[in-house]
Amino acid sequence: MIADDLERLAERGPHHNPDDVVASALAESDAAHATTSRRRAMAVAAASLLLIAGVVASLVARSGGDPGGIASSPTSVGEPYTLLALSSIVDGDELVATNLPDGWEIDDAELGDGIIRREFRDPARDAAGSVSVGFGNVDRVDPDGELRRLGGVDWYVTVQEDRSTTYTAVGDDVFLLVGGSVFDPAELDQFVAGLRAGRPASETDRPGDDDVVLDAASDPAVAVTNDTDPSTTASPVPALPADNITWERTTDIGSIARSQVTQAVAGPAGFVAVGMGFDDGRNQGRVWYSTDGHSWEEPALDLFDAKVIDTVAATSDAYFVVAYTNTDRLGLGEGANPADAQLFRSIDGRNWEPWGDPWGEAQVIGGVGGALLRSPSQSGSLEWSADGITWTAAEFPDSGVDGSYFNLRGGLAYTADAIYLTGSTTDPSDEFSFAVWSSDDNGRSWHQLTAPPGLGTIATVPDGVVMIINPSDPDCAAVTTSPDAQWTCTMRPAVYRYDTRTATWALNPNQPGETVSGLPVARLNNTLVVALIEPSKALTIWTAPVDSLEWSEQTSTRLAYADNTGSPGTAAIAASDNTVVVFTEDRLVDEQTAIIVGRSDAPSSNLSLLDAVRPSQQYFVAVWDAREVVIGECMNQQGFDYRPRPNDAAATGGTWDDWNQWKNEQTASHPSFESALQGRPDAQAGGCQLEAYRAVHGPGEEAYSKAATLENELRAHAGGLDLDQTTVDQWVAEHAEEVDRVNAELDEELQTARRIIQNSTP
Amino acid sequence: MGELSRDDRQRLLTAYPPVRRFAAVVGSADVSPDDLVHDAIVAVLKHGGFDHIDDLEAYLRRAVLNRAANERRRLGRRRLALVRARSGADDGHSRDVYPSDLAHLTELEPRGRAVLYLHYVEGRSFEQIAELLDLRSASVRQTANRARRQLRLTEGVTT
Repeated sequence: MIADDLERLAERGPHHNPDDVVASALAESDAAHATTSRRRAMAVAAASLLLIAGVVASLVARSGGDPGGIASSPTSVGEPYTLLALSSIVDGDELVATNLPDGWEIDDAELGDGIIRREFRDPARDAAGSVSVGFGNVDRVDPDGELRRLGGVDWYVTVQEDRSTTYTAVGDDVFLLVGGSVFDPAELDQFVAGLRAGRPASETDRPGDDDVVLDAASDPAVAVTNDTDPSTTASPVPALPADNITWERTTDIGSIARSQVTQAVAGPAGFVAVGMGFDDGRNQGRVWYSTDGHSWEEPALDLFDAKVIDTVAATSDAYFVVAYTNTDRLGLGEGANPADAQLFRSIDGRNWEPWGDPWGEAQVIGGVGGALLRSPSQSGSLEWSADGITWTAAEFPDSGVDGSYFNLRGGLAYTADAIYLTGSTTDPSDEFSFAVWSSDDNGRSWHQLTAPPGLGTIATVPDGVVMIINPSDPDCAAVTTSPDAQWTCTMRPAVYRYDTRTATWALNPNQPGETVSGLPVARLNNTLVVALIEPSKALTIWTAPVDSLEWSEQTSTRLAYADNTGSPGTAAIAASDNTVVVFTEDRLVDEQTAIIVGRSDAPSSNLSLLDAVRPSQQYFVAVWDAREVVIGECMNQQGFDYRPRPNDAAATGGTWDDWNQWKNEQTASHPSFESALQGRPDAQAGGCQLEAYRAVHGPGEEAYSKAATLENELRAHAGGLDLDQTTVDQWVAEHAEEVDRVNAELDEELQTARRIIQNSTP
Repeated sequence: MGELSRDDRQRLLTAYPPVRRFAAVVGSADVSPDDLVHDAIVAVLKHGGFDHIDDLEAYLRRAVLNRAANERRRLGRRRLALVRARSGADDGHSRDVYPSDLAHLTELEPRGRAVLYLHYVEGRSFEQIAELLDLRSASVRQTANRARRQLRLTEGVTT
């Protein structure tokens, strides 16, 4: 009887001509192929348009390898991976566990009520465990069980008479139960924590799907537990202190209210934001500075007014901006390329000066603590510099990078131990792939990681990096003609975590809310912060602890835009050790750009604690003055007068405005003045400025950069930026040799500087 | 992608009828069997064509089944709630493309329908089905048992 029914079912529905269906499929695949070919260009554009990243990512997700079905599961982005269960198990999908260690046996049991249990056994060790999944069975939670929070998940823990213990995590209508017959409760703690650490074990909707995914550690030895071999058991992510963040919309933002902020960074002396202003009806280059994120000043308007600010970056001891002539201001019209990009530098955020030779073509820069990175216009090229003057091509020992693209504008994140940089590669056969590289030597050399699932914004987390790809359906970028909601298709972004221990990417089961735009992300102490543009284009901040990655909406931060027309844009964000600043994309809140400041209650780093690893104030005062002495002598030898630049560390030497005016006068009178000072345009570096630099610091990396590296290592050791004297003293004692060596170099440079100054003084 | 070779087109057209029948069985009532097959073919074409596929028909069946399962998952929670509160009321989804007296089969999950169809209609062993759908044979047996038990519970169907 059933065979007859199935026969009839097989003939259901209207029949189409197979030839027509095949032809239609061929046409559709051709269209998709054309779309794929556009991905490369789209990826490059994503540097400035994060919105596109989501589209590209979704294309990748849709072009997964398997015939279909679970193609968007994390298995497509990195093996090994153990998918324990899908919520749709009640629809017939079985519990899945691959790559089990030798000796383990698996058996499935149906418990009724739609509950499926997968049992694991290792007879040789008399070990066993199980994972069960079901819907709507919260009554199965033992009411006497102890409620414990582990790894960011609430577990009901029940110890049975036979010593077996079950851990049950309950969602709204889904539960996951793990347990075993030979588990020591202490080991179970590790098991659960490890499960959580490797692949979060909470449940959530998969982006773009109503499935619930329950992911386990990539190493199944963790999932089946009682295997304490450290080589196969992922270490739990240590719980980090949570941040208590207070949010406030700041009001004293000066000209920012009437401008567009395109990028912001946190650096050694506070925040620097850049963008464009429109006060006089013409585009104005803008560089703002704030010590706290609340009060903003614009200290160098004269210098940047007639320029386009391309990118800003901060290292551990300075800020850098790339700017070029604004052709709109010269009446040349938009689109003209002046090819006169110049790097500017400031060590305090207030006083800016041109730094090194003009670059000609604009290049994107990124700061990574001890170094500055830049990506020249030609693909496949990445350079680093310790001083912003001398640039060296970065090395990629694993493979060539011809045709690669490096996303310095939005794809850079770093800790004291590692730098991560996103981008893409194109191999000789023109095959395009997304890529992430890492460097552990301040950008000198890079190694490519396992291919990421797409191209998104990134931030560092314990034992890895997080990539937020937004959103996961290509239709989300579609523009509709709806007058009140131009961007209507909304999806939740996908959050992927790269684990350096397993070298795999995994989809996080939890993500921020629906959005129509890219998600700029920053790390504030132990918290990730994203500025999310809602479908209505309102901006709301979402946060997640860096260990659990459980996202929550900060409802008090919501800012509704005045209207909902035009592109939703992307917010700008920057975080220091205890403050994060978010800028709305444009003047859309009450027709003004708005700023939200979040402040963590985590103790701010106390610089006095770092005296052992930081250059002294007198060092900075002396080396600056010494450089100016050498520059003056060098210029005099070439027949030029020279007025020393202001010394910010000493607060001497007048103002930068005065100095710039003097310099402009000199340049007007002597066309070769500037090249003598900063080098010929075709030279690698810098005229008398470079000579002065080398005279004070000698060849190689300067001592203060090495000190900055030490400081970063110390901060990383402290698990963030929460330093105390005991921690600092202990770390310094353990690294006495390195600290002593750097301090010796600092002292040597200080003495050199003083000698130069002394010899120059009549 | 360009044109299909003559051989590839012939392989597709040969595989089409059985795959289409399979799609009609495993697909939801909301989805046209031809659309499922169409999407499966697109997936093949997107991922390098036919050169790497030894058994095109089996590949297309798996693709069809995965798509059918995904479609069902999207409705899974809502449907499950409705099943739990079963009252005989229509769940809001049109089923008029199904023969009206086959509603009991629609309660099965796609894989269950696939296994029963391949076993009872196409006469394949569970081992063959496992190979065809890239499953373990134990899983196929379990799926078949579960599906038969569900049919007995819901409609008193005898096999």
